[in-house]
Amino acid sequence: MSTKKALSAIAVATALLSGSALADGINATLEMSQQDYKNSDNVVVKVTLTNEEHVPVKLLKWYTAADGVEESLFKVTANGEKRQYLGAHYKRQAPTKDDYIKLKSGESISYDVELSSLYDMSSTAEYEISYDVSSLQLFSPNPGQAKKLARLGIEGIHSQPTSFYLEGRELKQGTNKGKPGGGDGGGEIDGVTFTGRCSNSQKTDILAGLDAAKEMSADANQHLNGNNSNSLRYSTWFGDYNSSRWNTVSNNFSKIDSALNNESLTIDCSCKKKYFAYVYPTQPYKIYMCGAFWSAPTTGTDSKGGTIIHEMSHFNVVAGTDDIVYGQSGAKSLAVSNPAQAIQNADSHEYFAENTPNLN
Amino acid sequence: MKKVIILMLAASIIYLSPLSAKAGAIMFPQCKLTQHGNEARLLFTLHNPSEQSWRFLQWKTPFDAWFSEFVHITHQGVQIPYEGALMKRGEPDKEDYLTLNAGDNIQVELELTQAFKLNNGEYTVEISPILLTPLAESKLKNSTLELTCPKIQINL
Repeated sequence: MSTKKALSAIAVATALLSGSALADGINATLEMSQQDYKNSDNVVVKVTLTNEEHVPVKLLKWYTAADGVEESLFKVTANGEKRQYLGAHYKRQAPTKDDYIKLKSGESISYDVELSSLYDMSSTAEYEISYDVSSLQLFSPNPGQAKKLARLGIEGIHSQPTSFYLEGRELKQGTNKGKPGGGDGGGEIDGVTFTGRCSNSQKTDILAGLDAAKEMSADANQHLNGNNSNSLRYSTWFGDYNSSRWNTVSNNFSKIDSALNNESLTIDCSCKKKYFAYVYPTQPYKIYMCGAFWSAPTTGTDSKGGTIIHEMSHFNVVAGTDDIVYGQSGAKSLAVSNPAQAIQNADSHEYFAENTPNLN
Repeated sequence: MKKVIILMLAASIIYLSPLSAKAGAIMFPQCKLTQHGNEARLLFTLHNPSEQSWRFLQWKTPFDAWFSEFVHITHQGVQIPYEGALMKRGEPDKEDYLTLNAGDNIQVELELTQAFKLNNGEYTVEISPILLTPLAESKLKNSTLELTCPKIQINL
């Protein structure tokens, strides 16, 4: 605890000092609103680039966050150890003039960048970051100045470092303990591997959703093991009672429950679509979360927990369900009109598990 | 790209001719699958010879590749498993619908190997029916057209 306080004090001092770094024309500064972060916090840094030349300068967008982060823009260390950039590297054509943004003399641009999705921040440490970019093509070559600008580009733009304390997640004993995440995502927590730039808050949301899904599947199993042929909950989502269909549903839920508790899941956060989530049924157990997932409640109708149940049910090794109809009203109608299809419909499983409103 | 469209218009006349023959009848939208040479690539065409504009939900249509299972392929009577994605979506909103204007032709290409493992041989390809509803202010209001595209045989 005392170590932590001392470190924070250093962080404050550094933050106050983190002023101008001379980069021969473009000055980069970093600002952070906090010095201490919990593992559920997103880590946002404000990058400000200022043209301190007397003339306009054209800067290659790829090395700013103008269109989101498309290159490694920062040098990041955790307790002095370098942290790899996990985000995208784009393979590109040579830049054209549209790839440059112009900064007038004295003009500044600022961007907010979320760092926990771009660098492995799973361990508790004092993190230090600085803006650190360089490229032959960083500055658009003016006639007659091509050589000078290329040289300046290679020298690059560097800010003073700023630091913060982050309380990382406790990693589970065993695999990957304390190791940075492999590839593109940010490590493993509680048997869940994250890929596709999951931020701290997204990881928190996913873990809460998973807990909810486990509770839902346990509850669904318990209900189905009760073998209550008059169950309103069953008939609402799966139609008239019939022992063979009941057994299919019961078997599906026991497999969903088993997979949730025993299999290693991979959750990907790169989907930008507005829908909830998707999977490839032939590729267990990787789930791609999309826009609507993040705004969904943890439990209840179309919740995070329910979405995970829905997606797990799709895997062919689990229940091999399909999307026959979408939404609650569609699922209710399907239960009446075609129970044989209802027991193959992913949403029907989800709504049965969410049990909202409670029909027990 | 233009060439393809012109060719398809020419082709569409052929499959439309039986309906055009019925003078005065309301012509409904039509759809068609065509194979590119002997590749596992199909061109899906939705044509609207009627004076009525229609709209349809893109989900589970060729405009949704490959986030739902809308293509069904069999080889010697055996179903080839779908290996594309399945997307959970909630309720559709305006952007999820496509409009098929009167007289319009819309097309999309389907690369079947993105979602199916296919070897050489003969396959039967079918797509799920498309549900079209007339755009508002129509005498057909409140009706839904279930458009079934003829299945095709392809040789790879």
